[in-house]
This record gives sequence, C-alpha cells and structure tokens, in this order.
Amino acid sequence: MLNAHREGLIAKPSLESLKRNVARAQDAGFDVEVLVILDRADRLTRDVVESQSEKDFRLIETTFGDPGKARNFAVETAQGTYVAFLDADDLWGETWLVSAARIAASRQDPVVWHPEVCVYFGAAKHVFCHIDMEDDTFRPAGLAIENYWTALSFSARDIYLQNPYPGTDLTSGFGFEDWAWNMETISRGVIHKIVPGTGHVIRRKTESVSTATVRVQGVTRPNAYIRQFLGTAAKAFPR
Amino acid sequence: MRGSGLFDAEWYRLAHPYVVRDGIDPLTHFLLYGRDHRLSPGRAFDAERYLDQHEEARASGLNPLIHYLRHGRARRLEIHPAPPSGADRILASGLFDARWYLEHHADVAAAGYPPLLHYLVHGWKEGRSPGPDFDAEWYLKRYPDIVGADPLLHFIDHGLAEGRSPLRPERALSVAKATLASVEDLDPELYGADYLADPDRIEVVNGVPRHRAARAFEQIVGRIAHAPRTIVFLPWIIHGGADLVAGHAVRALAEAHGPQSVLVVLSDHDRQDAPHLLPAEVPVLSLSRIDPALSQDERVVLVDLLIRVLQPTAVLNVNSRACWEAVKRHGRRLSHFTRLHAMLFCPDYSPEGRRSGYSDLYLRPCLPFLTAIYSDNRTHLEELVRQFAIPADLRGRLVTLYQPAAEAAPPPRRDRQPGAPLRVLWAGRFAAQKNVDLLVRIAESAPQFEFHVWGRGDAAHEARIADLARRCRNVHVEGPFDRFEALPLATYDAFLYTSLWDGLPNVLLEAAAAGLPIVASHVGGIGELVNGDTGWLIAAFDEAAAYVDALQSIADDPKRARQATRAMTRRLQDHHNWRRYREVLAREPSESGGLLHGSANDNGGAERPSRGADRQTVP
Repeated sequence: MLNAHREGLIAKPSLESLKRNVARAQDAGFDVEVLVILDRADRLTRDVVESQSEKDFRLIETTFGDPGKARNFAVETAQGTYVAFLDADDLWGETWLVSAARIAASRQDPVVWHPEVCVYFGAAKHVFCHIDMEDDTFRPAGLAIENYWTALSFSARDIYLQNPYPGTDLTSGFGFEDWAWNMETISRGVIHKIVPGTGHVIRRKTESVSTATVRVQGVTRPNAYIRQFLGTAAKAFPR
Repeated sequence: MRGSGLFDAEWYRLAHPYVVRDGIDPLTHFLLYGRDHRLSPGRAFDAERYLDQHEEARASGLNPLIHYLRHGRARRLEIHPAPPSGADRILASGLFDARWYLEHHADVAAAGYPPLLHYLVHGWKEGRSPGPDFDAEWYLKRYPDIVGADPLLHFIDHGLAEGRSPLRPERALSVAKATLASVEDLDPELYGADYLADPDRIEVVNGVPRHRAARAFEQIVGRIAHAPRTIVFLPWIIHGGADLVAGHAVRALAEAHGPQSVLVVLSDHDRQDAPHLLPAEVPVLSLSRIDPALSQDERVVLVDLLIRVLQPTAVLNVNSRACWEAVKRHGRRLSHFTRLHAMLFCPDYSPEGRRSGYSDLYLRPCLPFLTAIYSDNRTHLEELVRQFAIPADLRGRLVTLYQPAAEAAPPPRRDRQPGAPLRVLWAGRFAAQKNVDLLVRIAESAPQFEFHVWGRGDAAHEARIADLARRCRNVHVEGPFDRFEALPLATYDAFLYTSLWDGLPNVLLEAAAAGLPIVASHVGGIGELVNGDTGWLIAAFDEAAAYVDALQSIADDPKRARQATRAMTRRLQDHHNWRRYREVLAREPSESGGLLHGSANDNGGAERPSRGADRQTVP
C-alpha cells in the first residue's frame, strides 16, 4: 500500500522502488496487489502517480487527511494475506518485500516485521537501526520514552485489521499514531521483529507531521503499554 | 584511620591512579591532600558530601575523615557511600576485560602490571582498548570532540547516554550500503553524492533511550508492582508540618482504597528522616535512591512520564517542586491522564525576603489543570483569591481541609504550685520564620517565667538561642526533638508560638490536643484555631509586651486558662477530627468529587474513553 498525499515529483522514486520490489517478489512466486491511496492528494501528486503506475495498480482517492486512517482504509480494502506500507516520499530497498514475505511465512504467531535499518537522507542524514523484540538488547520500558519502529511495517492483514491505527489529536496534545500503535500492539501480544539484511530509505523533510507533533509537545494518547512490564525488574531489562 | 575501616588503600589507588604514577603512599596522599581536594578515603565515606552537609566539619579545617572519627561519629553525623570512582564505573560497565587486555597488550603482561591499574595509569593515554567491546581508536576518531579524556570513561559517563557507539557499527553500515545500492539510481538526492563516502561521520542510532532519566525510568518500572490508583508526590519525608499533612492524606487514601492503591514518590531530595509518617504498607519510591545524580529537569521528566504511563485516577502534590514544575509545563496533557490535586499552606519567603513559595510561583499557571487545591487553612485560600483575582467558577476548586488532631484525651496536667514560676514551652525550628528574635525579647523581658526551648536550626539561630540561655537564667535550651507528643508536655503550663508567617501549623493542633493554653501570633490561618475563647491570639504579633501580658494572665488566672483549653478541645472535636477530614477529602470540591472520590479499582486510565478518541476507519 502506497500512501500518497502531496509528494509531487518525489513520488516517482518511491513508485519506482515499489515496482522493483514487486518484480522481485513476483519472480519469487508471490502474488502482489498494489493499492495507492491518494489521501487528499494534490493534482501534481495524482498526475505523477497515475502516469507512473502499472495497469494493475488500484488507485483510490480518500479524504481522511490522516495517514493512520488512510492505512486502516487500505487494510480493509486489501485482499492479500499480508500488507506492507510505503509512504510516497520514501523508498524500499529492493529486497524488502520478498525477504519480509518469506520470513513472515515462517512464523505462525502474531509478528509485525520491520527492516533492519532505515537510511535517512535529505534534511537529515543518519542510519536508524530497528530493534528486534526477541533480541537481548530490547528494553521494553524505553518504548514509553522513544519510538523504536517506523510505520512502514509488514504483517498479516489480520493483525492490521485487529489493530487499526489510532487517530491523532494534536489539539489535545496527542500525536505519533505510529508510536502509539507500536505500544498498543505489544500490549495485545504482538511481537515486533526485524527482517535481517533489509532496509528502507527515508526522506527527511524540514517539516513533517512528527516535527509538528514535537513542537506542540505532543505525546501518545493513554494506553496500557507499560503495565505488563511493572515489577519485572531484572528479567525484562537485559543490559 | 586504618583501623576505622573507612580508609581503603586499594580503592584509593584505583580511584586516584596518579598516586601510583607518582609513587606516593595512598594514606600519606590522603592526609596531605584529602581535605583540600575533598577526596574520599574509601567506598564507605563520601568526603565531599560530608563536608557539604556538616558545617562544623568544614569549619574545623580538619581532614573530613579525621573530623568524623574524632567528633562526627560520636555526634552521629550522617555519612554516605562515596560515588563510584572511575575504576568502579569501568568495572561496572563490563567493558574492561582483564584477560583480553593482557592477551592484546603483551608488554603489560610481561611487566606483571595489574591490568586495570595499567589501563588507568597508562593504557588509555596510549590509545589502548580496554576490551573487545570498546574500540578506543575508532571512538576517538569518530568523536573528535573528545580530547584529553579517558575515552572509555567518556563513553560510560556521557557517550552511552548520548547514543554514541563503543564500536564501529559494521553491520548497520553494511546493510545500509546494500540498501542504498539497490535504489540510489532512482533519486538525485541519493546518486548526486556518495552517501557513504565517509561512513565514520554518519550517525548510527537506534530508538533505545539511554539518557539518565530513561535509565531511572526503567528501574522504576521494575520496582513498581502494579499501577496505583493514586500517586502522591512529596519532595522528601522529614519531620515537618507539610510531611505530617501529606501523611494524613496518604493514610486517608490507604484507608479508603487499600494501602497498595497508593504510591508515594519522593521526588526532590534524598531525605527520609520520618518514614513513620506514612503507613507502613504503602509503597514509597525515592527518585534519589534510584539515581542521586538526577537533575531537577530529569525529575520533572520522570514525574510527567510516571503519570502518563501509570495513568492513576488521581495525583496529589504536597510540596514536590518536580511535580509543580511538571504540572506547569505539561498540565494540559497530564489532565487528560489523571485528576491533579495539590496542597498549599501559606506564603513562603526567600532569605532576601521575596515571596517565593509554591502558591506564588505555581498556582497561577497550574490552576487551569488542577481539580482541587487543598489548604489546611481558609485564610490562605482567601488571600489567593484576592491575589490572583480567581473568578467564582474556579474558586470551587479551593478547599479548606482542616487537619485532624490527636483524638486521645490529653494527659492529666499537674497543677502549678502557688508561687512557682509559669513554665512556658516553645518548640520548633530556630529559623527566621519562627521569629526567634521575638522569643529572645519575650524571654528577656519576662524573668518571672521559665522558658523551655526545644528544637534546632541553622548555626546562627542556634548560637542566638545558646547566647540567650547563657544570659538569662529563666531560659532552658532542651535540645532537638523529633515528635512533639514525646515532649514532657504535662510539666508545662503554656505553649508560646511566635511565628512571623504561617498557615495553620500542626504544632498548634498538637499543643491544643495536649491541653496546653496557647499564646500565638495572629498571622496566616492561626486565627482560625486560636481566638479569644480558645487561647490568646496576639494581634501585635511582633511586640514582646503583648505576649508577656498574655502569659501573665495565664499565670494569674488559672480558671480562665482552663476555660480556654476546654473551648479549644471543643474546637478540635468539631473541626479537626479524622471523620470530618475524610469526609471533606471524599466530597470536596463538589464539582469533581475529592481526592478520595471513586472506587479503589478504577485505575483504568487506558480503558477510560479519552477525549478526541476516534477509531473510525472508513470515511
């Protein structure tokens, strides 16, 4: 699912990276359906997406104005077993989709998959490493302070159906719908893991929803995340 | 000093490796420089804190350990463990591997040099790595701002918290390289320049927060057994009026909802002199015990976090600066997570005479987010309404909560023998607020009465009281006390209270409950307890003669004194009983219900519908 909004010309590299991923996955024998959600998209973005899409891509216009709600809608619309998210200003490393699909098929328990690294470019340049909850370095309490995973995840469609993204409400000081979603899914027994050797390339803009959230001192809305870790001193906090 | 067990030569050598470098005997070094450089002699004795805490030790000019062994120990002056030395911190980090060090630095092994001591004295300066998990050479190259410091200690003390890496992140860089290679031809911002041209300049991070507050938060989460219904924030728990008031509220909460429903957080200072003020079964968490080095800002961060993640039904703040600051900064969002309550007592003044109490500094910015402000006296709340022009619809949040007094019958009083002098009790802190100066003037001008002075204070005021006792034979300095009710109350004939500013001090409730006739200054809310019927309220509150007249009337007219104490007992029964206290705390403010309002099990923050919740998924 490609989430497009007002990316304009920079939607093209995203679409191209998506097409490469689709081709690799199809070569490996997977069926792939592509949904492009044009959520309050401007004309330029719509034109770029329409001209660059393959014939079998499904383009759907929505008016949520909220990336979380657009994702929820895409999940309900999708027909496949798994869902993967991409935003129209970011790029998937070429092996992401096929590696994630392969490893996801190897686990029967509820797992949300993330790439091993996110390479940030543009207004800021750094490499962000995702943490695997089954790794010794995972520290549960820290997720109440910092977000560990981006929203460009891969998982069974059922998991997204059962765990829709919460809405944002910046006027009340609540934001970071992807962070809140990570916490809430863990509270419901979902595990977040990495797909080794995979990466996303993330464009850092000077102004984004998350920087706006930081500016209003926003936090995630109330959730029960930390309660499951109370009183579990040494065991749950490997050093 | 050797015999005391407080000097540890081995620890001293590792803590101050230049002693080894310069070939000085550790004890000699400590005797020569320990005082001036505030060096600790061993793990068990923090010289710096000892000197900071005890003025007499500073003034003595003695080496702090000598001072402690000669004087401090006998006077039971507090001592604390020394903060971990560099060697302690290196060992605790697990990044120094003695075996690896000897294997990789054969010259050290050949010389028979103890590996850790070698690293501390020479190794880091020579750019040697301490173990397989810390690459000193890479670290110094990657972070050129580190100059002239042990890179390992820099990493432990700062770098770790700043998200710096102890090793070159080979794995992350290699996956990043492969990822970029697969798509960089697609975007000019990627192919226009080689992203990985200088990989050692690229920040490689993960989401795990390592800063001090985050580490403290992890420990806190591990120590709290369950989410409490109420969190009570206090600065500390010592022998003070506010602490007693806090103790009453915690007891009421524990009675109403069970002791495990309350969590007491000591947020500002590492002092727990009076833990008995809190019910024994109520869990207490001291931020300073988690990490004594937490800054004030970090404490504010933790208060905010604790409220947001635990989502208690109610929060009560009794003089916690960190909590006031958290409500000031984040009250809007915090009020979505819980009901915020606070207690205020009276104005307070800085040594320079500026009004700088919590009422002045925090009420105005915090009031919009507070469900209730409780005060132990009505006068202060009325002052606040005038001072800040608090409109009628917010005034309902200001609640007078008279504190409960002891309900046991007072001990029988002995009758004063005819002609025996009136025995006057003065008990409190020797401090500017308590107007020690006025006490001196009263005692000087009333040689016909005996004054028994209990308490302690700062050095200047203690000296003033000691001087008074030397000059006036009618003044007896009795020493410090922890609990008012443990004083020989039945042997006194009157209680004298000389405060310059106040709320409704608990010591007056205690003196009243003990059946002592009270002479008190008319300041703050004192007039709500002491009046012409229940005692002697001195309007000209800084004039000694008025107090002497009142004491004289107690001495001359025992019948009137008995009438006053009976009236006072009725006042206590009507306004300062436990049942009434709990009722007010459960019911007021009427708009929202009080601190006790609601059931024991309604900590369901996450399940409470939050404002703005919207789970709609289809337009």
